[in-house]
Amino acid sequence: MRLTPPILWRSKGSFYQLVASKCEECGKFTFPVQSVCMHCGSSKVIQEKLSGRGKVVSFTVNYQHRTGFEKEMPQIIGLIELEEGITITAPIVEVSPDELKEGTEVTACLRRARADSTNGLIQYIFKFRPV
Amino acid sequence: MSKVYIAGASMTKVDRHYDMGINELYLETFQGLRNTVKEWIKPDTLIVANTYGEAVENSLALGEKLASTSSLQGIRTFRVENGDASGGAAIDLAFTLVKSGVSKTVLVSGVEKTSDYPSKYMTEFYSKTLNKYEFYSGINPASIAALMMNMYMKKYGKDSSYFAKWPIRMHSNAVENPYAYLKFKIDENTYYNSQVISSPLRLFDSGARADGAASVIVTDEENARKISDSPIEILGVSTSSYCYQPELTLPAVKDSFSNVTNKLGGVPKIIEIHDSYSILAALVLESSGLSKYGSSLDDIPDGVNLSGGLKARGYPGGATGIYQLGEIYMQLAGTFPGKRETGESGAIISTGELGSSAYSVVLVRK
Ligand SMILES: [Zn+2]
Repeated sequence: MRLTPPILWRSKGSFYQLVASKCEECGKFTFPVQSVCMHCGSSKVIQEKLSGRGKVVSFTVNYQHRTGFEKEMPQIIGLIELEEGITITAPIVEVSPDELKEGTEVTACLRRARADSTNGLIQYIFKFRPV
Repeated sequence: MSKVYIAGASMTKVDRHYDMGINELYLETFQGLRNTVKEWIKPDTLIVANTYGEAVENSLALGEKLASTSSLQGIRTFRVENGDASGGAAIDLAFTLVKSGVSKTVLVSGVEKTSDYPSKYMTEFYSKTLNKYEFYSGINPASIAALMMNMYMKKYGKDSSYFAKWPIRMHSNAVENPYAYLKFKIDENTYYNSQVISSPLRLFDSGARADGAASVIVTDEENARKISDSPIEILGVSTSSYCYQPELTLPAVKDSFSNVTNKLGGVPKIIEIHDSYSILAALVLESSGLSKYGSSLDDIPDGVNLSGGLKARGYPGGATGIYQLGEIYMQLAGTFPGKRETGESGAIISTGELGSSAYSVVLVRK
């Protein structure tokens, strides 16, 4: 068993809504969301839903698959700089590697990640696609 | 505060050991130690470095189990897990216990089995060191290394032939090491003919994961003299840990290596580093100050990874750091059966797969 409802439920901010924590002391973002700022240690953080818009800094085409992700191969993984200034590593979909370029503008979209064959639970997560 | 010594080391060949499990691999190094020491002193502590025990052998409580297996009854036991830096973490713990006087003699054993399952199953486990979003979205560490490689090539104006230099050197070193997994030379063609794992990163940019075990006796001065005629002192261990950031400096390596080499007052020439990927080798060499930023692989220092490194000696997960320590001990004791360099001091840098935790250790022959 890989997935259980509580894990997905308590991760809904990070997996489905792109919620980050924003520090009121140093102004920096921490993603996935948490109650302490990763950069300065302050607990004065608020949750903020990110816009989901950003641009591709770099990307790789991955051929090494993990259990449950076989159908997604090859998979494009990008380093994406979001409008808010935070950089995250995430899958990029609905584009072929030949069309994708550094600087391509992308936006977050909710997509299927994988299913757990033992209990039938399907997990979704946000990925990115070109605008 | 006691001085801390290594008084013996034993390792198995890194390989696909289908006939041996965690127990058998550990016992081979345990017997190896007993056969080579001047006097066998029962350790008061066993520390097991292991990362994937529950994934591959459905086995937990390895400290207790391996102590019982080797008839070390009634002693203090630990299993240490910190991703592929588990070996370095175990060494840090052993050093601290002996230095403080809590333990007199510690057996530190790294053991790992990774070849029993298909690679997609193991890649799933290797990916568990990533953050929660990355793991659940299907990313694996090789893709993050590939992104670092892209950033490096862009910043320093390099192409992939720059990275081919690393596996070529590592395979050349491994040819002479009887404990190495991949004992064959390669050239640039071999590199370019190898499969792309996550573009531009190729199979020959990746450490060769396989099974292995290594054991080292860490002890105080009194017992060191009884166990060995040529004990090697562990001058210091320094540890640092940071959250992974997509940057071309590894702050954990920089901090820990400068702390520990300051104690020595110089930088050892014989050194084993954690080259999980060619790009990580470059970043470790540069962040530690062993090489200049942007050109480390153009001029790889001679005494680095004489074993063949993770690339060619092989990459037995959490046991890797214990291999590195055993190799440097043997180099300084003059008993390493592979390529050798002479020197009065040596070092290891044990890190996780992407370099966010680092354990730097300096050894000296006195
Ligand atoms: Zn802050």
